[in-house]
Amino acid sequence: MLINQLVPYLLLSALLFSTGLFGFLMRRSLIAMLIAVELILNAANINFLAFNRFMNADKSLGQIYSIFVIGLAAAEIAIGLSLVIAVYRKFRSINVEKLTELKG
Amino acid sequence: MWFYSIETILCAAALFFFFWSLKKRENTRALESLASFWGALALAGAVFSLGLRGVFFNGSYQMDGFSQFVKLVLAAGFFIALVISKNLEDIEEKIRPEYYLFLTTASLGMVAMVSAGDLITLYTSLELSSYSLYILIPLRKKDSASVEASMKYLLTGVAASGVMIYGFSLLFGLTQTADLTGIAMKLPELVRLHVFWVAFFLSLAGFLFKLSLFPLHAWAPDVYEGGNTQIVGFISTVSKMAGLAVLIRLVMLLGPDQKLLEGIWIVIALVSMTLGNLAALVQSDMKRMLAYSSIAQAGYLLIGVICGNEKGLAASLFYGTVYVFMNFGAFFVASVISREGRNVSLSDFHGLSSRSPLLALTLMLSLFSLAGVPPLAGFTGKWFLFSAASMSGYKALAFAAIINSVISLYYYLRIIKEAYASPVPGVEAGPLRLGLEGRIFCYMLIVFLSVAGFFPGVLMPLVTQSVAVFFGV
Repeated sequence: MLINQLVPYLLLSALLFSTGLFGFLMRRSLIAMLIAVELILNAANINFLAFNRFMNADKSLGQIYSIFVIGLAAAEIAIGLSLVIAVYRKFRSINVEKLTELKG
Repeated sequence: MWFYSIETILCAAALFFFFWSLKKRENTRALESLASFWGALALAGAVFSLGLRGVFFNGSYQMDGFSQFVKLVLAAGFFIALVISKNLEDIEEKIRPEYYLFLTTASLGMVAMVSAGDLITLYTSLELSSYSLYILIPLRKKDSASVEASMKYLLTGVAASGVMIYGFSLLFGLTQTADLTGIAMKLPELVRLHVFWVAFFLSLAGFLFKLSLFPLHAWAPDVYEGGNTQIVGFISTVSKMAGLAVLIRLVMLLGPDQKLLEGIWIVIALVSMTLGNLAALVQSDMKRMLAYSSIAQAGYLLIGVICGNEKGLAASLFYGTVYVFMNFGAFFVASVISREGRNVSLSDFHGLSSRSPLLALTLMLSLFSLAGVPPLAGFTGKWFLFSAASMSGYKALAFAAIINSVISLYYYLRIIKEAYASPVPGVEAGPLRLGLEGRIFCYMLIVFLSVAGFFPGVLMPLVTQSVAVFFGV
């Protein structure tokens, strides 16, 4: 069974990671960039869980780690979205290219 | 006694500021003095716990000579940040408690980061300090620039930490442990694998971001310009020192195999130094210039890490310690000079020597020290760094760094020239009044910079002792 092997999970997480990185670099909307970062974090989560399931002797470590990552990702997105709202109030746009007040 | 240690004090201070922020009554003056008191307490706690050793929570939190020394420097930086946050004209009075709260949690995160013994602690404490800093930047009053700066800071930061956590997940898979000592034991068999190097480099991304080193440096100028001066001073010194400490800890995990990294480190150090110094030449905003200068300084700090031996690491740590003080000096003067908390440009330094001789002297010594003019502390630190580099066989790197510090002299001197050589102050620029704490801070800084410069033997044994942790002494 394909589902019971490590490699498909690693490929999925690598795909998610590259999609996230690509999206972060290419998208110009702040919310899309934050979503792209979430993809990266979830790629890491899949890695932790897959390694934990298939390789690790101690079956709890990777799960604990991914719970920490999920919790911190929630905090991060809360700060990120509140900043997006602040940006929208000041600039009337959430396009990252409109943030050009600081240039030296 | 663990409950006197700096972590406990910072937790208590964070709770205190939190409850203060819930109160309706606004008594800013009392809050400011209490904040300084907490800062002094944290510094005392750090001094007290300098000798503490121990491993807690199954190895996920470790106190050794290295972590305790770095904590002392971090606590000193925290104390300075609280002391110079007296005159916060650009932060509304009703959110001052939050300002102190997040400054405390940021310091708490950095302190925990230095002691982290496994990847979970490392990630959590890194994010605690980063998130607090993301919130601190946009606290600045009615300024769309600060929101923009914070957004850029956050985007770079979360992307860097996301890449870092992906690297951690690969490291976890390769070593099947999250424990740093466990990882170090598994490393010798892994260094031949390509995937290990990918994982290791991805893991370093978060710390390159903290240190504002070359591929992840672009946030620094905007954040420094957009944020309020005290916070920016804190980011550029304390946060950088914590990042350096963890970077040293991670690189030292590799043991002798770290020589395989030197090519990439050298490129990062050289590009950071050169880019920072050249870009700083053309800036007119003081904070923007200090941002580029801090990118260059991070490049110098990396030299000792490249050497990887006891001498190199001690030099890096010595320079990092001195850097905290001299950079804070420059930011302190900028924060006093700024009118109503606005950004400081070069022309604001006109006639500073007649407006306030003490401030002008502090500025001159801090900037000369940053540039590496003998006999100040910055010169001694650079001397240790460059001699360690040339003794470890990196003569070309040391030469490039020396050329770079000559370039940097130009833009530091431009500010000093404004402060000293143009004696006629503008119409509205009367004499500057400094509070008691400000004067004490100036004198302490002047004494520290000259003593650490003339007599490095005061500080150097402490530094060498703390780095000895990595060499099994």
